[in-house]
Amino acid sequence: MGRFRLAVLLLCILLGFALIGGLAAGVTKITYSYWGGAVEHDAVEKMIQLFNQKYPDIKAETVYIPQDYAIKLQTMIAGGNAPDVMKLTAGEFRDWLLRDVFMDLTPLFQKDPEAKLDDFVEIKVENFSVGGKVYGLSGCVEPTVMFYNKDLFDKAGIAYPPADPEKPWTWDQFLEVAKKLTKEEGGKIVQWGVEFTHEWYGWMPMVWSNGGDMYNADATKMILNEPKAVEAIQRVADLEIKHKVDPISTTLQQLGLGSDQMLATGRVAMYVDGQWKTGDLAKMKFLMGVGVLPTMGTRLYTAEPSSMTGLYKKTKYVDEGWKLYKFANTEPGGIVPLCEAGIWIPSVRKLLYDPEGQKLWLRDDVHPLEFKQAVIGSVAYAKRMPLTLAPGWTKIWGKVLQPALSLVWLGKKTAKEALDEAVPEANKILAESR
Amino acid sequence: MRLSLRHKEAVWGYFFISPVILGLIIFTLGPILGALWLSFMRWDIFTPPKLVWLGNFKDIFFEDNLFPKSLWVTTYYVLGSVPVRMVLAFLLAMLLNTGIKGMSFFRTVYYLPSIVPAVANAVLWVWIFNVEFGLANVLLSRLHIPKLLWLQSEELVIPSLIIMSAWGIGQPMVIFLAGLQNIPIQLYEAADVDGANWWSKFWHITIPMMSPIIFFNFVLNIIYTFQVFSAGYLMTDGGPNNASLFYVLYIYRHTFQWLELGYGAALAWVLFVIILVITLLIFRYLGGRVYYEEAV
Repeated sequence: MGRFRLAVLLLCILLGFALIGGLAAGVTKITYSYWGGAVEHDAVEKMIQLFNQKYPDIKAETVYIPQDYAIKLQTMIAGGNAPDVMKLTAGEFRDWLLRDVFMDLTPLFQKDPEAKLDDFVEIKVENFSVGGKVYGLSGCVEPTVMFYNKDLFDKAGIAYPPADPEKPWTWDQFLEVAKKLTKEEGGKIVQWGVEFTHEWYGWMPMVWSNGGDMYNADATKMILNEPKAVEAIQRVADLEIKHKVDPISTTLQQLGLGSDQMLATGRVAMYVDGQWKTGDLAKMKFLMGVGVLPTMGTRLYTAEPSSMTGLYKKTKYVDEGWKLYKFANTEPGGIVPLCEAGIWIPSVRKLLYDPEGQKLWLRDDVHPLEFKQAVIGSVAYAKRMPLTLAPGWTKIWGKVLQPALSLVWLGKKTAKEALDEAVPEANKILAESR
Repeated sequence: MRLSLRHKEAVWGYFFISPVILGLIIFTLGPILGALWLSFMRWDIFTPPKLVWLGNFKDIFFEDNLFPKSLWVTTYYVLGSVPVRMVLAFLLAMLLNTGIKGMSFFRTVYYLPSIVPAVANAVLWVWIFNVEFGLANVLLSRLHIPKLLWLQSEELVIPSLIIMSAWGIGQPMVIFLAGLQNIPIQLYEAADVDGANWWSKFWHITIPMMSPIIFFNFVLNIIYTFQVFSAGYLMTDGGPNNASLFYVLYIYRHTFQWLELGYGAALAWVLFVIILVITLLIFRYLGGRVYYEEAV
């Protein structure tokens, strides 16, 4: 018993010292929460280390939540343990903003002599601005682009898809190439022209270039059932249904089934998805190329579905939090590892556009030749994402839009039938969410 | 005060079972009652809950078109999966009980799939059901049957998941096997002497002697299967067009994705009552047919 008591006593003394030590040095503890894969984890931890070295009077800690991120974050906030700086997906942003989670960053930028909003590319700032106030940014932008397998183009003697954002393919040109690159053997398709993602950032650029939109001007009504939007979505679906140049694989991509491997193994010639796929594709042994999306109108449109980082509105440590916030979103130490792995491209202009900045992260063995022109070039053609225009997106998407569209992708319903049914339902949720 | 030996034993008994009892009260009963309280609220976690009395239940029964849909999807799955798994598990147990060589080997082999983690299981079956390259369609094409859209068609997604569920019959099988091995051998010997054939031995000895175990497995399986979640969550995301929107997946969405914890709690209580009623009905109508060996 005696020994046990001694141990407890010692422990208490030690704890006491630690406590006093912490208080005496005036170290402020702040937290940063995020999710992501192994590369992101290592990069963020490294960034936090650099931050703590630069600011000895602040001790930043990370909360890494690889799964069920939003749920755990909600619980932390409800329990009064909200992180001071937190990442969040674009789809959840408006619902959380409605509940007063995020601080308006605009005055902080105005006061700060070092950081300006102009340091970031426009689309990044625009995506998370509401009523002229900026509530979030992050270190990356992620335009939708078109990857392709160069060998298949070479074999067929077809010119590569354009990398110049000023000269995108028209939809008809794109469809024609897709048809040429689709091959049948013995009544079975062995090679498809294209794999077109069914996520919103795949078909929304087509809706935009065709002259449609998701919401009306003040985002009080969904207008996806208007003819221009319906036509664009039907055309994307027809790649599978009518023209059979796109394999049926739909919802299973989330398990990593297929698309990347299909492109790498030459079963698919073109692959429309977010630029973050670059890293995975670069690891596979094939000649990768990347171009801009086709357009249904006269100019290129792309989407930018990246996530945001916000500052907790009720944080006790605004100054310290702001320092961490700036550091996390601009410090090359935290951004470069993700960019050179082909997962991010930087949202800070200096890193994205200046040749000196690009040198820090562009890698020959990851980023194909056309990357600069096609992917970096596409950023300026991204339209603000509809997800952050109004609250309710996760419910609209999960309960109404995705189920309805899944029938369109399978050809069970036309885009018009499905959207005529879905849009009124979506509008009900939209109205309730405000 | 001195306690008698009996009291002392009782105190110690309670002491030793207290971790389980406390765990049940704190981590199961507490949350269940908490959920009941929540089901009368509207709550998004960020702002304080608002009392709406029966508002959530009214919405569930009169407004929400996905409530009947998800309930039907789940019932359909239960109606398919439970009988298939029960029958297969019973047949397998009978086979293993014939005294074949290497029984423990086969028992392990058939049990193995039930300890595979849900995610690994899902990835495997997504591959099997892949439309273009999956094993299922490759086998069909050998038989010159056209490709099926296993997980991607509204009609086939639930049957596909039922087929998949037959893979995880290890648990009921082991319980059946243990039961079969407990049937006194004299009964069969006596039947042999009377000249009974295989079928009458099966019908008049095996089934009655096994009835408590069949009943146990049946009830447990129904309760368990109504709460199916991972297949819809991991493999199909409830689709296509909500054709695999299992009830618990629907609860999950409202509660954790759409910030409607009160509504989710109300949905959960509705399911609880449904399962309770079904279980009571089973006890009422099938419980009487169970043969319990009298203590001699």
